[in-house]
Amino acid sequence: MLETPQTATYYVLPAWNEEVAVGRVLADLRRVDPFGQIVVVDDASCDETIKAAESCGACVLPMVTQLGPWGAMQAGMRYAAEKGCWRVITMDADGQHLPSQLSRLTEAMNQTDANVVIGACSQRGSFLRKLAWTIMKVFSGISADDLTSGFRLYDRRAVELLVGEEASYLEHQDMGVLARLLGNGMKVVEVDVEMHSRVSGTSRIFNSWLKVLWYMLQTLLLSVSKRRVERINLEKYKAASAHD
Amino acid sequence: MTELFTGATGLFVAATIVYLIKRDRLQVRHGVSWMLVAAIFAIFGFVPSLLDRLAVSLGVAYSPTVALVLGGSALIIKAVSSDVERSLSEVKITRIVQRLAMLEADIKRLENYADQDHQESIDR
Repeated sequence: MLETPQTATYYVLPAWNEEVAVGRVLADLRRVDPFGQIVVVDDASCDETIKAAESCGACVLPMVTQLGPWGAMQAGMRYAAEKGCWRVITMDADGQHLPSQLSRLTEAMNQTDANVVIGACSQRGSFLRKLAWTIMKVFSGISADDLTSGFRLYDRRAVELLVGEEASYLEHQDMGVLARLLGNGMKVVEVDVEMHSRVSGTSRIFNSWLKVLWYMLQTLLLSVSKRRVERINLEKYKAASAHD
Repeated sequence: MTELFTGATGLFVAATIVYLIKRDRLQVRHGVSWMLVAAIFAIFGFVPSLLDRLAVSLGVAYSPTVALVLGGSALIIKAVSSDVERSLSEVKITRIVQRLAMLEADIKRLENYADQDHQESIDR
């Protein structure tokens, strides 16, 4: 495989039918970090997502079949790990996560020596999402503001832990990933960030009661299975760059 | 008659397993557990007194209940082990799909480099 500089930060954006939003997200990202390596993982979209991402200069990983949010995310992380990434930032391609907030994540990692920083926005979300968070917290024993946020910064150690075959058994980048990180002694920190509403499309989970119910049943079982005896409260970092 | 039917069912299951393996429709490792189930069916079918003795030793008054419970338990164990195998297969497919996408991305990058080189050589 082709090699890239050992200190490169990789941006991994899973995308599913995001032709409308992905161009703008990538342009904003490029403005914030002109030298970052951008990897868009196309999760078998039916629209022109690949073309839109490639026209912005992104490296596109085209999936031949849909693997779901975590399968796509992990593909991007595997690619970054193989290329010798230094850090990986995961974010949505639908415009929810703002490149202008990236400095908060990096600041939090630099200041706290965390292995993982989660960009949290507890104000966002529907009633269903908040209900899901509450149930997850109770059953998993992990207390955090935004358990389902996909806006995260991982260091090399955390990436290596998540690209293994065992992590391929997971389906979402929330409780399972968090439990795996914490269970392996990784330091996980949250930092408040601003988020926007998605530019196009809908959430793959939080768009119907039936899907939420199925997701919650799976997450409950996962939370109980991976639960540790002691309760874990994620550290919250107060970013100095509050008005980026 | 019931004994004959149960025994014959065991033999039929065993014959089906052998046929599926012969036709390469079933892997041997999956066939072994089904052959065990078929053998138990056949043994208890043709020698029902064994089942009666087992029922007495377990304190069960109606001996066919033991056969039903054992059969049900074996099926549950088999179903769970099938799901474990299926999960493993799905993970392997996931890894292969990811690897394929990674290789495709690299091929694309190499093609782009080659195009650039070609263009530069023409310009020169």
